[in-house]
Amino acid sequence: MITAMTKADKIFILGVLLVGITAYLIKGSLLWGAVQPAHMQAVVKVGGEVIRTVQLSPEETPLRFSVQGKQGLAVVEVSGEKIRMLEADCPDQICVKRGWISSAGESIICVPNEIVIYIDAPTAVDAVTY
Amino acid sequence: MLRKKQVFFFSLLVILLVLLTSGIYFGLGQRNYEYSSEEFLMDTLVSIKASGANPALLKEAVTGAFAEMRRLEQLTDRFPAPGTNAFQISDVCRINEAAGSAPVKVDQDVFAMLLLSRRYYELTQGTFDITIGPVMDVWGFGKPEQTVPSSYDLQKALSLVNGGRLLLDEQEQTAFLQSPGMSVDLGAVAKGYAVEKAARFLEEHGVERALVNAGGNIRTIGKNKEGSAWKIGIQDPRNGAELVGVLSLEDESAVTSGDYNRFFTSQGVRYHHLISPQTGYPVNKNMSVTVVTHDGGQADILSTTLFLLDPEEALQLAEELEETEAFLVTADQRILVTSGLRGKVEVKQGDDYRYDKS
Repeated sequence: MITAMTKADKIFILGVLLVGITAYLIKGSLLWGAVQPAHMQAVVKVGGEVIRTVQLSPEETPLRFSVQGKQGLAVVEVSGEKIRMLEADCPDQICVKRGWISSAGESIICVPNEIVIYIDAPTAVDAVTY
Repeated sequence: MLRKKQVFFFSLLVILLVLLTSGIYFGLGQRNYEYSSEEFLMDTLVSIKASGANPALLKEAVTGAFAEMRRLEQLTDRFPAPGTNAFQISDVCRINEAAGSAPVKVDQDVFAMLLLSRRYYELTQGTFDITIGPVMDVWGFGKPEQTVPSSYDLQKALSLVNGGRLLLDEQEQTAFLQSPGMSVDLGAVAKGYAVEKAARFLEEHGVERALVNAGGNIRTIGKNKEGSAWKIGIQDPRNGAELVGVLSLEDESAVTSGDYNRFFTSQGVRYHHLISPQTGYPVNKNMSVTVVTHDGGQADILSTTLFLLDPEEALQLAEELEETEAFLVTADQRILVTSGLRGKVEVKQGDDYRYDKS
């Protein structure tokens, strides 16, 4: 049964709303600054040489590209914020079995092909002057 | 009556809840995007990284900054062949072609570079001199082949170096080299100036966090994408895989002049491109000099200038200049740092260098 709201009810409702709105405003401004990190990137190296870096972000369209390794071809797949070795011409398939990686510091290594894929760690310097 | 009031409050509640949830939704959606791009420009790889909430704005600003750098590259390129379109577009080529005959009206950015150069020419009594063009030419720097010039050729070239004979008319925005054969080389100015110009373009277009890097010639805007000061490593002049220091920069520029970037070897002797306008020979007092200032153009000029001086003299000049800091790796393997930089740099002296704090 519905009864009329008392003054206390109204104050309660307004109070809850006020707390909610304040919380939202504070949260909104915090999110703007620090909480959400910019996207990471993955680096693909063959024999120590960087042959490609790719942005890992939900905005990027998924892509696949082939990499010429020391022993044969490999196929790298990028989807949103993660990257993996889809296929590789190597006997052990350790790299393919590694699956997706997406966090800073993680890497996929294919020893026979000398391919290294790693996620750029945020702790390194931003640039080097020389 | 009561019913109406209840309905009113209930509606208010629903409306506010909707606003609140959508607000939180959009708040969460307010991501920090990064846009970065690279181009081969000014004889090096230029990269610009910018981050912020609006990806479209970032892309537009970065694209515009690159366009600005390309324009400055064309205006200051000293090497297109006469008669080509690129030659006609280059103010530097036009100034040099008209040496000894007529003043040349130049772009306002080129004029600004010439004025900035003159300021440091006067400040250093000629240690920094952009009329070094003829000397660079006899060595072959900027050209496909380098050779050690004969002393006759070098003396002839040196006699043409005289910053005092480059007349600048501020009213007309003209530049005039008074003797035939003189030539201006903006190699120690243009890259830094262009980096600064690109950074200002980004700032004017609302970018609050960015890094402009023209082959180690660096300008930072705000903080990095993680929200802390930009960490800029200083390369070890004798081991490219190592750093001798790490700078923490915000809205500042860092430029390094080193003897290891552009050089050639002849009969077992290494000759690098940082040449004294007074002797005509490479100067071997320092291995590298890194300058930190707010202005990328000044940082570029000063890194070359300080490199050409004795380490102690260079350090003293950097201390005297306002908002100018320096990190030197001297030829005798010492690391010298200005007092204002000590809180902003982490020195990694390793086994090869001695950090001289005196």
